[in-house]
Amino acid sequence: MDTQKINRFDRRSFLRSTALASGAVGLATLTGGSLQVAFGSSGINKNVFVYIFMRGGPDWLSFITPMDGHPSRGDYEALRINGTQIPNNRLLALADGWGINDFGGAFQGLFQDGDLAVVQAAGLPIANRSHFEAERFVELGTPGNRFTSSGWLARHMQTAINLPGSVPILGMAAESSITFSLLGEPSALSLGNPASFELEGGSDIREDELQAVLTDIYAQGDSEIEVAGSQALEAVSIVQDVFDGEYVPSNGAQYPDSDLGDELLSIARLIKADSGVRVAQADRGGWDTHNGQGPLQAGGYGGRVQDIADSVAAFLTDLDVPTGDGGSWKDRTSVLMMGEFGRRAFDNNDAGTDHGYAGNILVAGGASVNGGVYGTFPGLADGDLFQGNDVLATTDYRNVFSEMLLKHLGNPEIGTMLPDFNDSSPLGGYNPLGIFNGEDIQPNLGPQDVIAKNGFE
Amino acid sequence: MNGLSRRHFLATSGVMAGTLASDPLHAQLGIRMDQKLFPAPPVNRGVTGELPPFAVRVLSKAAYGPTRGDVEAFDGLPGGSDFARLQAWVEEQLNPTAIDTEVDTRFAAAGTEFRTILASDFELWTQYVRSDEGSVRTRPFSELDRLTYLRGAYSRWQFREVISDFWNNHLHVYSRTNNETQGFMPSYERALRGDAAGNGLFGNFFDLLLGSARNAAMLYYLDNYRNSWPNPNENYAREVLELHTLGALENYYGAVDPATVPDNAFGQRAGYTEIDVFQFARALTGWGVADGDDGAPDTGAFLFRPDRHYDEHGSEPIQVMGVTINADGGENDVLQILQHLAEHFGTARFIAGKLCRRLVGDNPPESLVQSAAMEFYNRRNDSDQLREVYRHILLSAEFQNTWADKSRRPLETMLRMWRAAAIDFTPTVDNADGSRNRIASDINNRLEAAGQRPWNIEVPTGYPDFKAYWQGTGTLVASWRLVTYLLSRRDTNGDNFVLNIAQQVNILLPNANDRTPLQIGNTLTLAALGFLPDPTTMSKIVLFIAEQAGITLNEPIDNGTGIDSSDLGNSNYQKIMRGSMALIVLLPVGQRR
Repeated sequence: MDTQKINRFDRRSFLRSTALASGAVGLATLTGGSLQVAFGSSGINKNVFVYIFMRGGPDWLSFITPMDGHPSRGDYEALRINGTQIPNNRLLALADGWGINDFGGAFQGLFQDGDLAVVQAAGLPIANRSHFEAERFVELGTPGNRFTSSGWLARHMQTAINLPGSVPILGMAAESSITFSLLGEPSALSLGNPASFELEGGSDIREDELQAVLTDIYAQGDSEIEVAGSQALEAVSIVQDVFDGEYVPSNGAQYPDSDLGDELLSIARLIKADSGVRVAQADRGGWDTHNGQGPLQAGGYGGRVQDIADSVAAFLTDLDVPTGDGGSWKDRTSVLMMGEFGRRAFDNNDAGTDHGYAGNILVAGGASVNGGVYGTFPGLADGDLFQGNDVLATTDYRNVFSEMLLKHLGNPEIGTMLPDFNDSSPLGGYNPLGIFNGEDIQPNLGPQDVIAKNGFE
Repeated sequence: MNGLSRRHFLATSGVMAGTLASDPLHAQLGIRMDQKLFPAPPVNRGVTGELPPFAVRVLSKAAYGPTRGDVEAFDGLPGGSDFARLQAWVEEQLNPTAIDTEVDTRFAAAGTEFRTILASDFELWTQYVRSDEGSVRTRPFSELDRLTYLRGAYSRWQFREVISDFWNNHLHVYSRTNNETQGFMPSYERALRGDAAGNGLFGNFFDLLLGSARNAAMLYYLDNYRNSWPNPNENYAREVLELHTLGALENYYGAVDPATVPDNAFGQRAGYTEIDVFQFARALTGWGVADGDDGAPDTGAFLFRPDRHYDEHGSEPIQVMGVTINADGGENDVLQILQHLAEHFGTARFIAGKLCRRLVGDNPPESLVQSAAMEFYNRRNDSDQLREVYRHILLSAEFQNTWADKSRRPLETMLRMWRAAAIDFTPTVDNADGSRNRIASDINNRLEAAGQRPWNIEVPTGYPDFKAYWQGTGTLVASWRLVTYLLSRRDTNGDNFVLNIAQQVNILLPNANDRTPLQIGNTLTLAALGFLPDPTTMSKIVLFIAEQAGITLNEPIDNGTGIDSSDLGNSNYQKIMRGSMALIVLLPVGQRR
């Protein structure tokens, strides 16, 4: 390792190099890998994962809907009688009788290009209809426990040994404070508004000189606050550099004028600046539609479908440019979209839908994603519904997470990132659906603390 | 090379041992209960970095940090030891009076700026909640934000303000839930404080809980105002059990038969189940607000509506955690249950644990949590129960010996800076001339961006109280931005600073020849922090001043180019002094508590 290049994000290179030196347990599971490879350039994983959390719990049956000819179309029409039914001619065909809400035309385009995967009937292993609990169960990666003190992506960053030792920004949320999936990883950047990501006061307070001396002082120590402060100051200078000046998206990509569009644009700028971003989260809320859902209204649910479809399509278009070392950023990137739960199969008297159980997970991306429809749809007939109300979950969301972590990010430590996900889980254990392109490494399902096990300290 | 160990790292950021294993809900998932998933983190009471003097440590944990003269005053308390001085300080702080000179003076000088704070419940409801104008409806909670800053910055009863923030979060109401909450927040805050001296915060937990339960702000926030038989709304009942009393972490048994829940060591049913939630919600039916609905007066007062209350006790008694109510007692059905919950040992443990985390550190020793819980439990019928629990924690060896197991949250960062820099500014909604007070609303916006504007988190948990949540990059930058914003602010009239640091320095160093980088650095640091940090850090402060002025360490600053230390306006001198103060209050040592 080139010690000259170590910056304030030393800790991770320190941890990783220590892990490599003593972490035979973790590495033994890396098929085809070796201690040497993990340090060489070919052992560094360069893929990017973007997680869009659809806060509020979308009515997925208004997003991806059975069309005429789908075995569930009749049941769907019988269940949707209060203003949320989407007529066949407002759906754009995907495959297997499914159509997408025609506000999501951009997604039909991605699907036809093989860049969009649709997972059917995905959800928590045990239904939970509380936003508060279900969001935490998903983002913390520990269904049944909402008090876990770190998120699943934070634990990925802490256990991965195939990340570069020394980069400015590995993980980020394009939000004003850290999201639950990244909770507990102090290096994770929360970047709600790049324009205000700096100290304030200008020359009235000698801001530049102040920042320089603070950077110097915080770099001296290794207590938590000094590490966190160093990372904050380092991030300020990186963000100021990356966001300096005008930005023209590549390939004529047109981001919608929306929060999500802005957030994905910020993430794209950081990715293309090669700032090291591997994991990023953006939120798109507004899906908690108990009344006046408006599935085909630009000012309602339809507008949100369009926003997310257009934003993600623009993001991938913008990323379709060469990286510095071969391939395109688009081919290295996957975007996973989901909410905390789906909604009731039937609509309520207020032209809305109440909290339910399973929904879809969407995954978009270039060569790293295999487009198509995945999973098993249990149907909408009376006997098919969970508790007579909701779409039944057939795929544990952790199964999709696991495949992404293993094949896309190359991290085998499933037992730490998604503890207790195994064959005795209610919906079964890891069973790759084939959504992600990449080597299917062997998961390590045991709780891991490689260094502690090896007597580090 | 960085010396932070992996084990330490996981302890501060990783999955904490025990949380997974001890959650009864895990039983549903078939997850083993007997095996800890991760190795136990070491109790982090580590002294990281420099250890400030005892007085500074106490004032950083049980107050919002020292302001001018506080450290000297603490060291001048009677008794020949740190412990004796701590006892004296705690004794005073645990017995606040209604007189709080600095706050009272500023409050009085602001005149009608704080008109809703002293308004009666009836006035708040009829003139603000029910107003047709948005800016009138939001005025009460806007004033309450400012009052929170005013008290935190200037109150001599610092512990009262720290503990008030604790209870505001424990019994949290999201102020912007609806018209009823935003207009009524001063009443809610008053219900928790009890009286002008804040005796509610030092009294009996049951009274605090009941005051919260009966206030329109809470009734509206958690939907209990429309809880009616035969279709109860379970929202409030669940949160009382999950957040206000027993806590879900140790005491929630999920969807099981209540008869299968074991007893605790005190012969009480150890925890609650889904059925207890539902039964408790039943008891709470009929609770509401005189809000004009259904022929009721529209005053905002608590109102029990017998016609909406559960009335089938005869055939199916209400049963919550072993308390059985066989006959319809009207609104008293709830009181028996609340009393039982308030006096439950699970509640004592849950709240004692949270208090220890607030006052001592993120990982308080189990021995302290247990002894504080026993104090809470044993004094459950005492009128000064909470005062005794606080005393127990504040005088514990663990409180005295723990340092830096917490970082400051954004509100605490701001208030601590306010006190350290001796800012002279009364935050109000409007300026004296009636124009909007831009600085005060900028503070609100920046605290919101940092993620801790008071009463502004939607979820009923209140703001999290563990450092991993607050040490994220964005949160830190936003907190520091708040500091540099305030330190560089000029008011709308031009050159009159919210904070004239040049003037402060000149008062401390009246002789211009003494205004050297070395003397300014030392004097300003001592005034702001109450002590001088290590020599390396001090040399960086002094060098910063010298480099900005373009002079050597022992040279009068007036020797610098374009510097006139008698110019107290927006001069070069002023700018260097502001930058120096920002540097001093943003040092790592000041971020710890």
